[in-house]
Amino acid sequence: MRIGICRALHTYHHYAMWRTFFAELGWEVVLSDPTSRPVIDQGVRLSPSELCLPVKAFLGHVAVSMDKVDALFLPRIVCTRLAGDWYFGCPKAIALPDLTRAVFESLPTVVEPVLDGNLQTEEQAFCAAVSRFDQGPRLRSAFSNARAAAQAAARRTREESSPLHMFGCNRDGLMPESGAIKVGVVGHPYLLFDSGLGLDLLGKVRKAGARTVVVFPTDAELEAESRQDWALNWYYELELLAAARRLLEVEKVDGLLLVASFACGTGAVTNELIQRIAVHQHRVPTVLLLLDEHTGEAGLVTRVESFVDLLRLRKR
Amino acid sequence: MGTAPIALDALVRAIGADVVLPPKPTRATLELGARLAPETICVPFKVTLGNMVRCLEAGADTLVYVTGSWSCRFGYYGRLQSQILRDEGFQFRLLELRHDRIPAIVGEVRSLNRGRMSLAVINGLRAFRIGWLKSTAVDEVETRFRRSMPSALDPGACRRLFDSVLDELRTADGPAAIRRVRSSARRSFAALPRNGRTRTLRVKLVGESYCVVEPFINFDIVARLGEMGVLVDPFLTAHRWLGFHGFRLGKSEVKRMRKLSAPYWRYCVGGEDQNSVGQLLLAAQDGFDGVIHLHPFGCMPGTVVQPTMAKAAREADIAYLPLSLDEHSSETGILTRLEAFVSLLEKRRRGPQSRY
Repeated sequence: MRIGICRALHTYHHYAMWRTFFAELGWEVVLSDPTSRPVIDQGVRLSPSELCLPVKAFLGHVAVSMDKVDALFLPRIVCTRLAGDWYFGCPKAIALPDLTRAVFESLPTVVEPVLDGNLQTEEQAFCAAVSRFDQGPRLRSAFSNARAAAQAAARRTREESSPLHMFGCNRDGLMPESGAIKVGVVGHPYLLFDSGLGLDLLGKVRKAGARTVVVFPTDAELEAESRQDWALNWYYELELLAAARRLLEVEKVDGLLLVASFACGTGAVTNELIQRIAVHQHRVPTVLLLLDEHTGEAGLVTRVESFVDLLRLRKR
Repeated sequence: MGTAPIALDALVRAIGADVVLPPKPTRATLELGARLAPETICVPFKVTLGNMVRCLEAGADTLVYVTGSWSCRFGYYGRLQSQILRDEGFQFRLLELRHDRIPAIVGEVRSLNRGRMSLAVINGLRAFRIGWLKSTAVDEVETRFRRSMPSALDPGACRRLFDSVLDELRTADGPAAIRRVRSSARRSFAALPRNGRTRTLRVKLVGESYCVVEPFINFDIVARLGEMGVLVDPFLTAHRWLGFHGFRLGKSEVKRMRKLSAPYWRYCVGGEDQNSVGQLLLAAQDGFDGVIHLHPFGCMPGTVVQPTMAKAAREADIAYLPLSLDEHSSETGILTRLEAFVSLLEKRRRGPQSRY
């Protein structure tokens, strides 16, 4: 059995676990190639114009990989448990399987775990999704191995400051040692570390002469963030908020670079909150870069350079 | 939100509070809201933010929010808007209507009634009664207006009548007065001269609640289509949005929508997505000519449901027009698309041989 996993969206968070789970079952995992211009173009052609870039790219990945696999992995990430409470995914992620089914006339077999921390556990969801193909204790042991792999990956993430060791990124690529100006970068990994969507934004900041700092919040930080009054109820946005807080309070960055995709619904709320915290509480300048399929590299370079120049002037 | 304030105003006044109603939203209100709000947030946020500034300028000291945590952005309106308003220098008290804050809400109602619980209960019941009566009356008048519009000889006169009846309802101060307005409205609408049209096109209006209910945001789509001779049936009205309808219908309709939409849409994420898919299929069964889907630009559920709506419409063989609305939408652009849609519906009515 060859199962296709799209190199987009939540794959950047959970690939270690997903890969291990299917490998334990003896399935061949086919990860789609890094996002390229043709993949983006195909996704843009298939989707309604108002969708955000990462979801469009996701549909592009489905289009290029569906013929090469026997089954397609389409998780429905509804909520994630954190400290006894549950936190939502974004509506587009929740509706992803429905969207994919509506866009494509025919699809290979779909493996669709409904990750709904509220109604069923992650283990139940995964086992139910593949119970058509495999049953019995092997499933459960595969799941516990997968969870162990996920935890190991999360630990490595904290040590190496990158969730992307499995995609072949290393520490050197993310953390340059030189540069007097520290720029904290906040954005979803599927945007920031995707070569096709993120347009190597981190490299551009470094080229402009600044140090980039990207942090990945720990569970304790996420819980602290969730205890804030009127906390966000989106799990993946809570991550961004917690990351921004650490960048401002612990790393003491000189500036905050926020990266989001155009028409990202949750981002409109999160980035506004982060900007208000940074500007009003910490007097740290921020810049918000919105990416879409029309974003030109030259425009991005100009904005990054002028932001770094501004930080340099402020520091003098 | 559309005609909802007429009933809400009466309800909250009867509880014992003083109400500051914002003036009807205008271009200026929307621009004010859009200037303060995050750029890519949905348009209901911008209109309501503008409205709040107007209310606070008019002397309101308490803002009441319905909040909670969904996956839709609506749950965060309260947090973000109050923070924006405070940063702008406004001072106000915040009252959250949230399921875990019920004691605070009860306490608030009690303090409005000089701390006497018995008075609070009596006034509360009286408030619900007057709110329900007004809301039902508004709903009845709105229905009459929607039905009369396509067959009215002079749509302008029909509209003026509608506006004047709403004004009367706004000032009606008791059950008897409301009853009087209702029966006079019944007579006036029946007396409107007709244009003799017999076969009207029927269009179902679905989509995000605010866009469906607020005429300012949807460019008064019900009346505009009515002028073109189309009978519009919105799946949601101010009355139903307020929940007064729920007392009688219960959850059966929600269940029905879930069942209908299940082959296409398996998880409700907000923005009335499940209802929209279900109502589209229902409209096809009921012989409607077309469905118009309204949503704010960038609305997460509203955007992501579009391919599903298109697929369901294709399979149920019903015409479908999605319209995305925000502060940049132009009335002319929307009207052109509505006119094109109506002529498509007329063609479809004439039969398959003349289609397209």
